[in-house]
Amino acid sequence: MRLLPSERLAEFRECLAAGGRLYGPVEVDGIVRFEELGGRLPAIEPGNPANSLKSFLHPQTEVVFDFEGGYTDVALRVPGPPAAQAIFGVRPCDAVALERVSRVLLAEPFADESYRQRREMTAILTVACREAGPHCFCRSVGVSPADGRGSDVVLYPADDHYLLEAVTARGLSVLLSAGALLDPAGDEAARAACQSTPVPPVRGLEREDLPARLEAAPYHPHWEELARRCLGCGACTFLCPTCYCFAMFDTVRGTRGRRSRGWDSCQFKDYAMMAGGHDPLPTRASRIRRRFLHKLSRFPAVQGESACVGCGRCAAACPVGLHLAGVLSELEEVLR
Amino acid sequence: MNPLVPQVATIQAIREETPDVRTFTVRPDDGRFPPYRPGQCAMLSLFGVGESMISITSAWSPETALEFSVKRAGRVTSALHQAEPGHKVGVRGPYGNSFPVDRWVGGNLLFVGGGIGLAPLRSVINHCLGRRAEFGRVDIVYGARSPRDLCFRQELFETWPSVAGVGVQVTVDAADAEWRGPVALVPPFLEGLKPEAAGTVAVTCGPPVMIRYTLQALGRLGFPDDRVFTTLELKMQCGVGKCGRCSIGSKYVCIDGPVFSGAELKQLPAEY
Amino acid sequence: MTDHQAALRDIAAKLLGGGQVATFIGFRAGLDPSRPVPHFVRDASGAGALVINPFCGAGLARHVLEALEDGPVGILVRGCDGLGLERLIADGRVTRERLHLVAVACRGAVDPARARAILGRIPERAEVDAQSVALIAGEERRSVPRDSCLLGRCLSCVDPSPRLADTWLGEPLPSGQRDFEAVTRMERQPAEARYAFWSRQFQRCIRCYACRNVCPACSCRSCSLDDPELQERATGLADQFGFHFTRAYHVAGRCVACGECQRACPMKVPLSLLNEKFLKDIRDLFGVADPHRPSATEPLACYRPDDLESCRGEAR
Repeated sequence: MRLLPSERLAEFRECLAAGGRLYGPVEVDGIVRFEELGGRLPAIEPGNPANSLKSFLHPQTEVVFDFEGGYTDVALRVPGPPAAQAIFGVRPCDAVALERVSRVLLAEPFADESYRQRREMTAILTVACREAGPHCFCRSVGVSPADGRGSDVVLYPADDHYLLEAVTARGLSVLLSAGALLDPAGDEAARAACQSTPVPPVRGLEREDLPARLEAAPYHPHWEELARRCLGCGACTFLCPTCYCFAMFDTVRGTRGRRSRGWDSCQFKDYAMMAGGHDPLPTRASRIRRRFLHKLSRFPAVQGESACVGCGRCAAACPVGLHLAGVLSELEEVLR
Repeated sequence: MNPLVPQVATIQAIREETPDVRTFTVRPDDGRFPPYRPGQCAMLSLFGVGESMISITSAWSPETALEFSVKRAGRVTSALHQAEPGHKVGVRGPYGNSFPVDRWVGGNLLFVGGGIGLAPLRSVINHCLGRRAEFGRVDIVYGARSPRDLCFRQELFETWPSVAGVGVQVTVDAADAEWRGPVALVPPFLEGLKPEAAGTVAVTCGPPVMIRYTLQALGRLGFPDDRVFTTLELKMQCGVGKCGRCSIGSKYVCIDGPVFSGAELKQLPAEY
Repeated sequence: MTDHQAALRDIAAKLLGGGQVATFIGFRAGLDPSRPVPHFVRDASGAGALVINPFCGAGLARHVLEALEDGPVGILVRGCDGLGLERLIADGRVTRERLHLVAVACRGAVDPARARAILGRIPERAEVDAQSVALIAGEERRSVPRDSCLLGRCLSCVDPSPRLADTWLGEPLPSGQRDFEAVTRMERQPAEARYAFWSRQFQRCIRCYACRNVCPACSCRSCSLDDPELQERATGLADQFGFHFTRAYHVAGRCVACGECQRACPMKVPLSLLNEKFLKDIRDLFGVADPHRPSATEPLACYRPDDLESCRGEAR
């Protein structure tokens, strides 16, 4: 337990920046996103930045290997280890989401090595929430505004200072490196305030029988209704902090080439299309159903926890208002 | 080690099975490929083109190279069909579960294949024939669109029928001038053969629609769901349970499959 | 606009009940009153769910494509929706006879995020006029300038009323002329500044393709962006420029300036500015007064023997 006086936030930032690249939420061109902080302080506003923490650990595109040749002779070159980085100003739900993603990407025996290395080189400094953002519903999915899961350090904001708590050994070493700025004191009130931050509930999500209700009605006509409204873009999935699907693709320039991987979306129409034309998810309704059932029933069936953390990004992003909270409340009306 | 980085391997031989199926013999350049079990798959890739999940059609032995029978269907497989011996490829695996052959010991075996679906069956057929004494009667029922589309002709018409206690029945959807054999789709052809269900394990693979109707036919023939096995194919990008592509319900075909029993299939949504 | 809600429900119910249309496309209430969502009504009894108010921000034109296979479509149409439908008709994606257009003049839609930020809570109602916007929640009523809380796409709108209509709710409003002020400002910037600006914008892009999927001019059933051989999925800066130029060029000459791409963009990439540049060039090079309004003589879609062959700016 340490206290960081608010006026020392900039010094704390410098201390973090000394350990590697430093990212945090900043507002540029009218949108708050995680970006390299530079000389700025993180914009700690209620709710979440537009992009999610996963961008830094499971990036939108990344090199798997470069190659030269390819016909009768080929040499592969894998990228070197990632550099150290810290993300400052993460919300608890985002860090919890990362912990959910890790369950899949780090599952043995095929642990995702580049993700594992990045996670080891990344310090996640979470700022607990004193106020819910416009789309937040974390409490409805078992996440708290003071949740420490997935974080390395949690900062609990008070009026003129932050209470800092190290969650992991990595977090502890961050606090030690900033030791000169911190007062060795506690502030249970700061933590308690975040623990009791009110977050409006979403109807239907709290039900214990939600997975069973969804699985029992896989071909309910309301999925078709949703499909008519859905545009089939990937905004919800790309911004979702727990969506981890990716595609692999090769690019070639002369005799050199590269195999990369990049985010892919189950909402794209060619997502499951096989060579030869067979498509197990041939309709938009089947793809929307896949998304919601994965989040709320199938991921929980395997991992024991929801694959939605209530960050509200899908609500902020969807051009037609087809987001998890809205859909759940619609389904509550029709699944009787 | 990043599981998405393949071993570099070389195509050693190419055999033309049908106008659109070729069997590639591939040996990793470092000579090592982990031992694999019948039914497992590997990611085969051409550098600069991409990867495809292909079932390993050879049965493992320390000295045998990997064999992949590939139907020309999409971008990667079309490019593979352009390749010649000596061409470098990437290979990673083996992936997935396998046929629970040890649980079948003492029983009769019925293999039902359609088209390129004989490729995964071939590995388990040859594996079982290598342990011939451990099984009872072995029946192989196979069909293709036309006589020209029959894969593994030598094994189908010479090698397998010459093994004691092995019966091979071949049908085609549409005959040509030379074809003297049966003309029927696999599921009704199978039902007409009235194979004995008692004491027999049925294993099937083929195009999705053929699998569906074959499973129904096997049910009518009295095969219980837990003595019927199939191997599924879905689009895959990673092969190691991460990319999300091949999920059915809460299973991933690449790590929880590709082999599923009829009983397991009934627990899954019909998204295959 | 809200005054027309009862009439809209009545018209939709009659169209559906009489069998003239199989689907009526409008809006229904969303999770909160400031976020109505596009809605497909399938029978007369469902028409009561339709709402119409200044929070109805999404464009509706593109949704017609999802309803056509069920039969003729009735649709609520504002100026932007009307232009989008004209585009779909001109592109052969829908025929005029398959549509029943219920027209309404629109003074602009409120951006729910900006409105909430201004009020500090979710607005329940809004009133938009030519000068200002009133945001209302409970007893509170706050009047704010239009540019503080309307959607960007509405601030530059010069087509409050659709040109096509079968039934009118109220009276049409006069249309205006685009001034291309933002493009002109951009054109005056030195090349380095423009490059820095667009680099910053495109770098944010997450390639979700919302801009494509929402666009009434981007309705190909099979899109080159989905073909990995034609469009790589990489997101390096060069790839992002490649994608955005490809998108903009593919709608150049057919863009109706509805601004849906920019509204839909979750990363707030100013796609409209790019589209407007093309529109301004078409105006300047080909002398078309209103290049965003579909016509039978669109310069990039028609061949004429005396067509301009060079791009040196010698407008006719």
